[in-house]
Amino acid sequence: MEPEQPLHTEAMLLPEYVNRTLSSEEEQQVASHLQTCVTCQQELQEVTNMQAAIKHTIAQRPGPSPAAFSTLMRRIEQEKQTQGEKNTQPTTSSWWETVESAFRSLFEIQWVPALASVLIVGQAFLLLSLIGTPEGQQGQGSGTIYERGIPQGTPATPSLKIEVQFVETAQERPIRGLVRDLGGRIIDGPTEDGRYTLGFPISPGLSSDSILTMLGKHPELVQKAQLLGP
Amino acid sequence: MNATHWQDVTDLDLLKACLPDNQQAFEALYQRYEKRVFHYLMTVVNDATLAEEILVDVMLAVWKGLTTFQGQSKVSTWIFGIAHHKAVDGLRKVTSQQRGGIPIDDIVESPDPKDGPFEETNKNRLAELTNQAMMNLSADHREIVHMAFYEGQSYPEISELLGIPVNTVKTRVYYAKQQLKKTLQHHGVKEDIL
Repeated sequence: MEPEQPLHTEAMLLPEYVNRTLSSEEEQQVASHLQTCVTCQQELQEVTNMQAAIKHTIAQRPGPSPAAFSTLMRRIEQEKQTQGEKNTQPTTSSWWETVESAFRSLFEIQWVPALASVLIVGQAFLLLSLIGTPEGQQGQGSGTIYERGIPQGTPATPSLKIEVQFVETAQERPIRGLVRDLGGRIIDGPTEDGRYTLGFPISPGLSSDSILTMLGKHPELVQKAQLLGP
Repeated sequence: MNATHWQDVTDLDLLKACLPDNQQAFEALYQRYEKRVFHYLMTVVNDATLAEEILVDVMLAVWKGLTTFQGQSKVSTWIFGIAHHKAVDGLRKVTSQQRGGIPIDDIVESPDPKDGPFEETNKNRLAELTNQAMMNLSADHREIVHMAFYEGQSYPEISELLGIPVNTVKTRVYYAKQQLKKTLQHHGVKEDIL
């Protein structure tokens, strides 16, 4: 239901008139009006009574619990700590700090994988180099080459490739000694049937035939050897 | 300065005394406003737990704003303005069912004719009915009734803290009062009591 419109504009000022918050001019205007308007006099009485009832009603309500203040102080302390942390951080930076920060970011996370990759490749290269070192510096194996396999190397220069099948009972140490004495490296193998590929650098004094001949002189180690080609 | 001394200090001076970090002064400011703000919040949100949570938010905002308060408005207007905004936020959190209020017929017991005329109703009974009638008003009307009738604030002050024109304050107060009157009369409160 639409509320009734007030008959007089002064009626809308009556709460302020009761509160004594009108300007002196408005207060005078309302007071003059009230002297002659019975309706607004009744309205004034209602406003006065209603205000008393409302004040009495709200004043009976309990206040907040003491815990509210404790909560407030705890949150203020948290705010102080947060503000303190913010204040310790620099708010402005020089152009040099900006440039340094920009460069520093280049070497942060995104470079870590690249650096790790370089280190891994370096380590692999080092390990492969060690494979080619004299046998005295290698671990001394005791099993057959088929049981343990043989570390392989990669020839650095163009080479002759010879496929060799070693005797099943041959030991790693004498095999390495033979390959080293011939100036070669194991570059692949073993295959499923136990064959290895040896690499020999091409040089004027070394041919595939001479290598095959020398391999053939060690039947206790070499079961079969054949040229694969350069 | 002990707590007793703060009683004679104006709001503005008490606010200034809170700076830079005077906990005693701030505690005095809190004590001066805790009940007023809490009662206002109770009127608006009609939930004691929520009102207390918002009270803490309001006074925390007051503490944060101590250094920025310009003194262009009264301290009370500033604090109640903060409370108004926090209360509006708080109301958004509650469900529409809670916000809509309870139909007055469901919560107000009509007087039994055997109890005699309603003028015998004591002040507490009237207070109970008034409270229930207030809670049946819209949040906007409850709020403005509280400001004008309980806090006794001027219309320009209410206009400032609610951010609405003075004329809107006038009409809203008038209509809210008329609605209260009708509700109370509907439940037997005679006009001469109102």
